[in-house]
Amino acid sequence: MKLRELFTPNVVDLNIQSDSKDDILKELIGLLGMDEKSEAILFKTLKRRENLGSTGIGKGIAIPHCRSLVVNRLRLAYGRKPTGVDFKAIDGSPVHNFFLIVAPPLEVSNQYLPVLGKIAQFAKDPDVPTRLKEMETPEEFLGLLEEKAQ
Amino acid sequence: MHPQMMLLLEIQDLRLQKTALLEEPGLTEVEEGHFNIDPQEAVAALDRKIGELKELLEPSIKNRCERGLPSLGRMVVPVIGGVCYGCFVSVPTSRSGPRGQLVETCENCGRFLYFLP
Repeated sequence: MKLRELFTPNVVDLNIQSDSKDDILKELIGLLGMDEKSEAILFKTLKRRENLGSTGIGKGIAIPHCRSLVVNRLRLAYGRKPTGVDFKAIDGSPVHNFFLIVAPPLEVSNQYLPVLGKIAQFAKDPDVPTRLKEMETPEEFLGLLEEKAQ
Repeated sequence: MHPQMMLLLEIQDLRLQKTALLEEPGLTEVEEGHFNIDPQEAVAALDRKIGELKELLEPSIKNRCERGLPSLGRMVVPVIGGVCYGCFVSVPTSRSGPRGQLVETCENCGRFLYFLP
């Protein structure tokens, strides 16, 4: 399955408001439209994953990810913080682009790892950070995925 | 949701991360290659956190987990479409939603049940 097919405009936020790592994770989780308790558990799981090592892979991009019982299918969201935030990324640079990936414990099609790999690969495309910075609508983001990611 | 169920879910999610790191083909390479994670250190950190959280479980629930885990694998499973996703047996309709104040278990397999909204 192509990355484009896993995103819809309502899980894309080009103007993330939060200024701290924790609040950004909460804002991203909020895009998934879950109930409050599930959001709280997912936040803790993502936070603990971050404690193992930042998911900021450099060049202004972070990919918070985990498996969790609180979802029953693969869920993705994208957020952009134009001014950037300290996410303890590998290269120490502020992070502007956040790709959230949450997968259930078991998936029939087992897409979690391929999707994680595809997004990491997409983020490494030299053209992508500039294109992400220039986007003005969620549809442009979806178009970029269509163009760049398989 | 019962606070002990929240705790069970947190523990189960940490176990999931650990199992994924240890057993999911290719994940270790992705975590090492893209995210600079040391899998052994990560597993040790997850084990420590799981241990800390287990101490917060009520003794009866903790005992049930420790007795059941070796044979059942996962002690907390979702209920989706009225089916326990541990043993794939239907959960009686009278228990088809979260009752809030109880820690629910499957009458067939004994696993703790989490009702996905």
